[in-house]
Amino acid sequence: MKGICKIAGLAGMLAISILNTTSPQISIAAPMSMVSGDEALQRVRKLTMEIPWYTSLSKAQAIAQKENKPIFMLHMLGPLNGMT
Amino acid sequence: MSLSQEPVFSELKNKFVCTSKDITNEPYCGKSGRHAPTGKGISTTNGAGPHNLQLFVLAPDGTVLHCLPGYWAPQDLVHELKLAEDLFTVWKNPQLSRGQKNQMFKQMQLSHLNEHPTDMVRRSRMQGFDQKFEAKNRPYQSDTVKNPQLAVQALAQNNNKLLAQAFKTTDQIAHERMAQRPFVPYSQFDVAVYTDYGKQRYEKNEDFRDMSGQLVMNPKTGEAIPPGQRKMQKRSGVQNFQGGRMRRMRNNMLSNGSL
Repeated sequence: MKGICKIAGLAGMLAISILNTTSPQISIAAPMSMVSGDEALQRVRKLTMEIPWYTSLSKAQAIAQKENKPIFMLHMLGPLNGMT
Repeated sequence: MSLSQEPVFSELKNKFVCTSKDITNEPYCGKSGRHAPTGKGISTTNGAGPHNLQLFVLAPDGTVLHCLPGYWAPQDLVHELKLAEDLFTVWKNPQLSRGQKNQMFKQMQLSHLNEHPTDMVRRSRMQGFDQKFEAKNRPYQSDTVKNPQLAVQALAQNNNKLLAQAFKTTDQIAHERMAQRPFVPYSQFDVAVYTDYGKQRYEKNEDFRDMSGQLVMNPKTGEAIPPGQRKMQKRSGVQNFQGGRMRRMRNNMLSNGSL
């Protein structure tokens, strides 16, 4: 009985891990989650093409002032769409 | 890149004006290998790589509302963006004095910690190599260490599990440090001090791994590693809470077809 419970528990864990692969809430924490080069490129393209990224802080400030929005500023090693 | 993932992508697109800065030549910048846009990515923990990546939220006048060091998972980052929006509301409120605003800033930063979901806290474990760096170099000085004696003991015993218990999580470190920096102008924000934990170099060698995360090439020589000599990267963050023995049992049962 104890063994059966253990197996059921493991099956449950497996089910959760399968669910995790489809749940954006949890998938990021999946063990050793790798993203292929093609997928990474698609993500960078989406980020840089669908959101305007200002390279000048003063320009971003002017837009933010006009639209009454906060500014999200990304500090990163290398350019957003290039070698990092 | 987590910023292209929901729910954070829509938040950024709709509620923020976005700007980026290449910090390569800044004195506080850390080191990393070179990564092409077509290079592989690997999941990591919140706050990993604090010297190489910082996520700021500013008011239009350049006041820092929030700053997160390193990588943050999208579902956790969105919580922090909400806090930044709330702090923006406080900053704009003409009814509040500067002293009241500062007090609210501090309170909101610290109380936000209590609102973090358990999963977020688990995703915020400091990287093991960063913990070792702190335990080795400044266990009694670093504000990242919860229990300095335990950190020293764990390092001497090379006990990673014990070492993790000696450290604060990165979400706690970030909020405690931000609480000490209420509404600071961006031009005066001490990035070097704020992001100061762990090693200067952050490298996961993603391009030398297969899609299971296993190192298949030697990062130093570029030579293929024979299958029998390959090692998985040490699991970190959430993975450590899942129990190695259970995981091995599950994997064994999966591989021998009994599950």
